[in-house]
Amino acid sequence: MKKSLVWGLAMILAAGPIFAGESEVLQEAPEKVFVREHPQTGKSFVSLRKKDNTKDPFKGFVKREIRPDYEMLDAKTKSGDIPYDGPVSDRKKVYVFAATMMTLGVAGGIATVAMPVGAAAAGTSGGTGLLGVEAATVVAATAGTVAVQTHIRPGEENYIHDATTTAVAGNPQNLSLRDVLRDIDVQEKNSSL
Amino acid sequence: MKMSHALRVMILAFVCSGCATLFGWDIHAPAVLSQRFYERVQPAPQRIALYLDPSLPELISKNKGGRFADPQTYHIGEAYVPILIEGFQRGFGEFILIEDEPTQEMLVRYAIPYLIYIRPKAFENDVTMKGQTVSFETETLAFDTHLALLDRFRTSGKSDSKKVFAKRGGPQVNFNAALENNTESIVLYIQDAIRTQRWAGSKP
Repeated sequence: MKKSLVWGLAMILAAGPIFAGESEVLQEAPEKVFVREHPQTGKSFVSLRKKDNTKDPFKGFVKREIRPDYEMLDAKTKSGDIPYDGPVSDRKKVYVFAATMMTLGVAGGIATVAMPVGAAAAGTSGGTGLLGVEAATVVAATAGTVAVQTHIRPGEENYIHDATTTAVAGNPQNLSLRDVLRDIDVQEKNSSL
Repeated sequence: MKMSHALRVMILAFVCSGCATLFGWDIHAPAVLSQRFYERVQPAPQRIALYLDPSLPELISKNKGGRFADPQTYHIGEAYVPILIEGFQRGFGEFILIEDEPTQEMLVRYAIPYLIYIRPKAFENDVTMKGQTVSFETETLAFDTHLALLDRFRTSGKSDSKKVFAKRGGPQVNFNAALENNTESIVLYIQDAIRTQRWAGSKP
């Protein structure tokens, strides 16, 4: 009797979990919710991403524990007056001799070194850079009302900080995120042509 | 005679290339907000999600800002992404970063009332003998839970300072200030839109 009871129980358990008898279906969300730490401050925040996405948005980021003090930007402040331990430029020397050598035509190999210098000069004559193509569009397309404008001009300090937000004219209801992304693709195609 | 000719050619090359080619500046901002931001921006009790344009994290600019200025490389994305996230963390009680293209289902499932999407528009740099003006412009789109567009706006953050390159960390801090000003203006604008219920008409 005892033996048959054990066998019976074993068969019921093997058939599946008892609580699965209901018709309820719990669909698993395709996103993963997890907590990330801000790479600089260490403060946690919630992040959402697809389960197959393993990309780290802060990959290779080096933590710099320094909050900038903008008093440093005051023209009257000398270098070193305000303590600063943040990143500084690693002044890479670009040899002026490369340009000289190119002019003289001594060594063709140096041309590869000197080329970026020339390219940079050519690019900046338009005052742009990688985002330069967009700049004109911005000016042309900016319209509408200025909703929030902050013009920060600290009292005694000799520097100017500006921040302006301008609402864009048009009926925003006609666009969705997909439209925006499609717009980006079109812009990218146009710029590559 | 031959020697003096070579010398002249070299001097000419020197003049043409300018002092600009002597140095290259690789500019990484501290990528963190100043204490000033925390004084100016107060948190709003609001759930908000942020989705950044995929081009942002890798964004750089080689705009040296003047014909005679040294070559410069600005690592915009590397600094702007942490600054923006920190700004949103400060500005909104419930902040969510969305790392993949958001869907309507996702927003509904997690009860996200507002989705903010930010993409870069322009980076401007003006280097003069006296100083430097650097500015970063972005476009922001605000969506509701059903991915209907609520608002679209452009934001420019600028920092204009003198003797920047003469100071240790000067260009880095000036660059950081421009990015911070952009973030501050975006956060204040969104807070203002929510507080005044400007987006409420489109809310489901």
